[in-house]
Amino acid sequence: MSEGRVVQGQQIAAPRILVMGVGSSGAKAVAGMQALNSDLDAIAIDTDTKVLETLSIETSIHIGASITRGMSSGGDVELGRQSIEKDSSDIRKQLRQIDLLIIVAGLGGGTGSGAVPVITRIAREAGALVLTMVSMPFAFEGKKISRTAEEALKRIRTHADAIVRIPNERLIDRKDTELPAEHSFARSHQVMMDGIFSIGRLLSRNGVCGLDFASVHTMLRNCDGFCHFAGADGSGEKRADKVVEDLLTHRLLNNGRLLEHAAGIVVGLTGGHDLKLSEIEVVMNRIQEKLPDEIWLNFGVSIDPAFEDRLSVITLVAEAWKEPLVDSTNRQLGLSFNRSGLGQGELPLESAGKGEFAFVDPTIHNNQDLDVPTYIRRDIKLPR
Amino acid sequence: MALESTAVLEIGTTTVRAMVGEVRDDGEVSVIAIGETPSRGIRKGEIINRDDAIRCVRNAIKAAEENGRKSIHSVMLVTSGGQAEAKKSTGIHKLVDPQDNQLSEVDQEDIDEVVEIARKVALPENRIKLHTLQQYFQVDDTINVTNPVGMASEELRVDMLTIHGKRSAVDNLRKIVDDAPIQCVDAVFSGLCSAAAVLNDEQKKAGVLVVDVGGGTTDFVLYHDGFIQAAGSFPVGGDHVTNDISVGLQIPLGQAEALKVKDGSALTNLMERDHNISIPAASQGFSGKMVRAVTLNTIINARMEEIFSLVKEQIDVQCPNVPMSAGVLLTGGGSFLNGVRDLGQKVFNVPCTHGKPFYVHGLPSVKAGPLYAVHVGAIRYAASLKTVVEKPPLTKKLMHLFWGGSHE
Repeated sequence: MSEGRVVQGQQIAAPRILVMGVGSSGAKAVAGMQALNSDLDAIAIDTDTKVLETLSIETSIHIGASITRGMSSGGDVELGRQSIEKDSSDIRKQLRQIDLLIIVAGLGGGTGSGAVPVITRIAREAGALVLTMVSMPFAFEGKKISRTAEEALKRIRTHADAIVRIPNERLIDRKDTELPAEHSFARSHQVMMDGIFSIGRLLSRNGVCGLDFASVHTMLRNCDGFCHFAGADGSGEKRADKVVEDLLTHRLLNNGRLLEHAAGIVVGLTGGHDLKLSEIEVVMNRIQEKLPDEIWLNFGVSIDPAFEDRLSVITLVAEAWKEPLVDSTNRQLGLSFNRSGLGQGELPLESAGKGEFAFVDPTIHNNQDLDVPTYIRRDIKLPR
Repeated sequence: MALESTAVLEIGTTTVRAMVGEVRDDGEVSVIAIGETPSRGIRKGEIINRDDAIRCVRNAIKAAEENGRKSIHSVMLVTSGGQAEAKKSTGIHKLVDPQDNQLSEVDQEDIDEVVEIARKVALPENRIKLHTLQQYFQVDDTINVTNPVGMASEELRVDMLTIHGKRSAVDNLRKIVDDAPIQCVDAVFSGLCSAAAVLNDEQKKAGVLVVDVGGGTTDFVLYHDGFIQAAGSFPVGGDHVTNDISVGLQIPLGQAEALKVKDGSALTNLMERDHNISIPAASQGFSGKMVRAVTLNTIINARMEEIFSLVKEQIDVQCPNVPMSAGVLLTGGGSFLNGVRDLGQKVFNVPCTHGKPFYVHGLPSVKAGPLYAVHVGAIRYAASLKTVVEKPPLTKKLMHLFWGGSHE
C-alpha cells in the first residue's frame, strides 16, 4: 500500500493506493487510520488550519489560504469549491502515479461537499480510479445539510468510479440511547477505516484465492454508482455462521435487503492459517442465497497470520443503477412534466432530449419518436 | 460526337453538393466539376428555411460552375424524397381472345401495354411517384420471366416497383431549384443513384443491400436477381447521432459533431473503457469537457444500431428472406463513422463494406468515394435516360426488321 510495501512485495508495479481525507471529518478519519496503520499513504486536506494542526498525520494540505484565511469554510459549499480550485495544482501533484484514490469525506459541510467533486474530477483526469467513501449527515442535522450532501453526492457521481455511501443514520441503533455523541461520529470513521483496511489487505496480501486490484477495478467500473460496504468479524467454533448472520442483518446493508437488488458484489474473506474450505463454502452459499441470479460476483480469500482463529468478511455491494447520470437533468425534466400539470386528454409534450429536432416535424415510427436519442428511448444507461 | 455533360444536385441535410459529369462511350463517368457548400435551412432532408436553402443551392451551383468553368442551366435533382417508400404493383394483360382458344405470342406491344397498366398506381394525394421500376414478368404459370418476347401465353403479368416520396418535400425541393433559378430536369431517388454507382450486375444478381447514411436521412435499396426488391428512406441520419451526443454528453452541437467525426465509434469496445477524450474549449461559452470514450460510443452505437435495424425491419416487411450474398454496401457521409461497417455486419449478418463508385474518374480521392456515390450514380442515371429517349426507336426498328419482319 505504501512505498515500504512495494519494496517488500515481489511485484514492482504494485497498485498504488492513496487515501485522501477531505474536510474536517475526512481529515480526522484518515488521521485515525494512519495512527492505526502507519503504512497507509494518507493525506488530509482541509481549509481549517485548526483541524490540520491538531492532527497527527504526516502529509496534510491546507487549501484556500487566500479564501478562508485559515478558517473553515463555514458550511459554504462554494467556498470549499473555490478553495480547492485555487490549490488544485498541489492535489494534482499528489495524484501523480496513483492507481486508486480513496477519498474519505463527510458530506453536508462546506469543504467536504465543495472540494470532493473537484478532487474526483482532477483524479479522473489524472487517470486514477476513484473510490469515494462519504458519510451522509444525521437526520437531525436538518434538511438544509442533507440537501447539501445530496447535491454534492450528485456532483461526485459524475466523476467518481464508485461511491460508498455511509449513512450515519443507519449506523446508530435507536435503542442505544446511552451512546455518547463522540462515539456516534467515531462510528462512521470506524466503518470507513474497516473498509479501507480490508480493501488494502485484500489487495496486498497474497491470497489462497486472489482478489486482486483488477477484480476490484472491474467491480468499481461495473457498478458505476453507489456501493455499500459492510464487514463482519467472528471467532471461535461457529465463526462462519456468526459472520454470515451478522452480514445478512447488517445495518449498512439495510438488514440485508440491499443484497436482494444488488448488481455486483465483491466478497473478501480474511482468516488465519486455520481457515477451512467448509467455512468459505458456508459463507459464500449463505450470501448467494440472498443474491439475485444475474449478479456480478467476485470473491477472494486472503490469509493473514494476525487473523488466527478469526474470520473477517467484507462485502462491497454495488447498487443497481437507478437512473442514467449524464442526461439526468433532461430526463428528470421530462418525467416531472409528465407526472404533474397534465389535465385529462392532454398528451405529454415529450421534448426531452430532442435537441435541435425539438421544433421540426417528429418522425414517428412504431409509436416512437425517432428524434429522441435512441439511448433514452431504449433506456440504455450511459456509463459516465 | 461531343459528350453531353450532366449536372446533378443533391440538397442534403449537411451539405448541398452539385456535380457535373459526363458518361463517356466506354461507360466511364468523368467528373468535371464538384461544388459544395454546407447546408443551412434544411433538416431531415426537408426545407425549414427557404431563403437559406436557396442561398445554399446558389452557392453550390456557383462553386461547381467555377470549378468546372462551365455554366449550369439545368440539373437533375437527387432527393431522398422525404420518407420514400416502395410499393409493388402488378399489371395483367390478357393476350387471348375468349373466342379464339389458342395461345398467342407475346410481342413488344403487349409488353408495353402491360407495363403501362402496371404503372398506373394509385397513390395518396400527398405522395409523388419518383420511379417505376420494372421487375419480373409472369407468363401464365411461369414466374420470374425477365424477357417474355416471343413466348406463347394466355396471360401476361408484370410486377412493378414504384418508389414514391412525399409530394410536399419533393415539390419544395424542386421549387427551390427552380427559384435559384435553374431548370430542374427531374427528381431521382438518392438510394437508387447510390446503387447505380456502386453496384455491378453480378452484385445485383447475387443480392446486395446499399445503405446510404446521410446527414438527415438514410436511404436503402435492396437488389436481388438483378432487380430492385425493396427500397425506402427514413429521416434519421448522422445528424441524429450528433444530436444524441450533444444531448447525452451535454456539449454544443458543433463539438458533438467534431467529436463524432474524430473519436466516435459505432462499436463499444471494452478496451477503451478507461479512455478519456478531452473536448477542447470553444470561443463561445464552452469551457471544455472530459468525456469517456465508452459513453460516447454507447450513444453512437445505440443510434446506429437502430438505424440499421430500421433498414432491416423495412426489408423484412417488403420482401422477407432475400439473400444478400454480395453483402451490404454503405455510402454517404455516415459510412465514414468508425466501426460502422462492423456494426452493419453485426446487424445484417453479412459482410459490410464501403460502397465506392467505379468506372469513374475525377473524384477528389478514392477514399471519399462513398460520399460521391449518389452523384456519380445520378449522372449515370441521367445519361441513361437520355440514351433511352434516343435509342429505343432504333432498336425497335431493328427488332422489327429481324424478328417482327420475319413473322409478317
